[in-house]
Amino acid sequence: MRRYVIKRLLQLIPILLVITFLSFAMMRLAGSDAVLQKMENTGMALSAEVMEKARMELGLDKPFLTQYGVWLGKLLHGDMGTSYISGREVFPVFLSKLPATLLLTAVSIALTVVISVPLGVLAAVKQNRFTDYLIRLCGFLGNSMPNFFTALLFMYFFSIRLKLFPVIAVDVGIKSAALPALTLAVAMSAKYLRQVRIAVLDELSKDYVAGAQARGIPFSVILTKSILRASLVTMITLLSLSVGSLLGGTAIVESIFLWDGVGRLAVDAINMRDYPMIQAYVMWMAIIYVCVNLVTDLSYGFLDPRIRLGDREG
Amino acid sequence: MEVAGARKKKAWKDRRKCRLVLFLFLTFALLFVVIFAERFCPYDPNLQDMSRSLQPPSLAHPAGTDRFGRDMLSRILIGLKTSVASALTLVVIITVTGTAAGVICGFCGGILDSAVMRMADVCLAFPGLVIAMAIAALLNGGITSAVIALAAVSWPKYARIARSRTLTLKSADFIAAARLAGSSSAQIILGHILPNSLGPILVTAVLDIGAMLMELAGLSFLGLGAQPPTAELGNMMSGGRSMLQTYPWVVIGPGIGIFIAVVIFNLLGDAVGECLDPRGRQEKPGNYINRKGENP
Repeated sequence: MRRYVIKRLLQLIPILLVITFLSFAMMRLAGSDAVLQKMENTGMALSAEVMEKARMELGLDKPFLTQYGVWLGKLLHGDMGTSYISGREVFPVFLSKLPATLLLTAVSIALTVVISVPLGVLAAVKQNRFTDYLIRLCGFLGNSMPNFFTALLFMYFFSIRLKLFPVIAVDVGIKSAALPALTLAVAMSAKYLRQVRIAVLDELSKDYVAGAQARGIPFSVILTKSILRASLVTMITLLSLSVGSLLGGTAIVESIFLWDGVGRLAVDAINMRDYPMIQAYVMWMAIIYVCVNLVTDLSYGFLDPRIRLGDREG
Repeated sequence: MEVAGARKKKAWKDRRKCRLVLFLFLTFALLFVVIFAERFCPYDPNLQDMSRSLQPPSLAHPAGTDRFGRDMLSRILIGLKTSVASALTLVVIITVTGTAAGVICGFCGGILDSAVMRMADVCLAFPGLVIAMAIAALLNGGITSAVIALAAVSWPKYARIARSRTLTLKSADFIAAARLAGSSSAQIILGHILPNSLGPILVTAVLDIGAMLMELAGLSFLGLGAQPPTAELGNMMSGGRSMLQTYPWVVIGPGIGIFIAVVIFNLLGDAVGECLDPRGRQEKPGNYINRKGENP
């Protein structure tokens, strides 16, 4: 087990290198550099010689890979450059907004689990009955709602009409987080509900369930003690896979509810073509996603003793 | 007993077919409306009339009018055309490129295979929409760049499916027979492997249309897709956002437009999936063991 963990952590290194390399290459592909950008911002027309000199000072004339090396070194010290727009350092700004987004993500994942697991299990148990059809219909409709539309509808009904929640996030707290998190949870639950239902149905059709029933064990006990435990791994895998779309979704939802997180920061940066900020966002989101998937993979061994992680390589 | 079972099975199959036909009909109806959107528009979608700006839904303007007095229904229809056309283009692009990459990689193997598949792995390791946002931003907006951005992150799924199908089929006896009969590699790929792997790819593609429609609209909503003079549902909603409180129809109308289109494509996707994809049979517990026997 320990060996497997170490191996997986070592595998993380090339992935992180690829992520940073692509983020760096993306900046270069943008066809703009700090010198050009500064010139545009100040509105001064500099001669080609002065620009060349400034580039030399910043090391922008060196080969691509050398520049990447220098950039990576700075990155390890937490220096991700300065924003083209505000002139402030990117990394501290990014870091200060990160907790808000993580809070939003955590609340929406919790909501998703609370909504979709009971409903998914209920739909599976009542398969092909009215309850099942109703739950599946809701899931289907939720799956067909674009999240920005859900967000605006929630905003209209809950905030503007019923005045239950603030229209825009006033602070980073639970009451402000409720609507954005619910919006994200609706889309995620709709997808997740189906998968929970299929996972539980799959488990229900196995022989041991019939065997346990034949021995007179109450169905509720079989359900909670065996079926839910057995389908836990599938459920967790699917949940961690949906974190990717959740991270993308936060950008839209945050900018609608003016939630002060990295998603909104990124959307603003994209609209103003503030490349260092976009780069920081993309890179960190990718790293978070990769880490979530890693933790999920590692958790299998604890959740399901049948999976022996270390033995896989023989 | 057996006869009844067979009859029941047939009825089940018939019901599936009926649903497929119904949803295909719905899809064609939607496509018809979208293709001839200009004909269905009650007004010129770009005609501004400030004296009628921001009117609530009425008989003359079933979906109300926007800030510039333009008829919302006409704009929704035209916007739907842009959205559906770009989503379909996107799905065709990713299906064709993904399948081609997957089949060729699976068939040829070697360095090409590992290189392309590692690329696919890297693409799958990133959160898709985040990367698509970054790419769309790099390409400086416009609906084309949104399509390219989403295509860049969505093709690996198809490549993987096509590759695994190709690998299974490659070792099948009938491929060996075709080779013995003197078929060239191109003939084998086009004549045998492609037709036999199309089922699961088609299901994925149809199911993807709705999702892509939503993601494209999402990018446009963020200002990364179609730009304002073009009517597109995502940017119409984004433009009307500030008027949500007083003139909600400016936002809700286009939203319902996207919702209906996505519902129709998703219904079709589910129906196609049930008819073509063997995994659809998972729904019936009785078939579980059979299913296992079929796909070793």
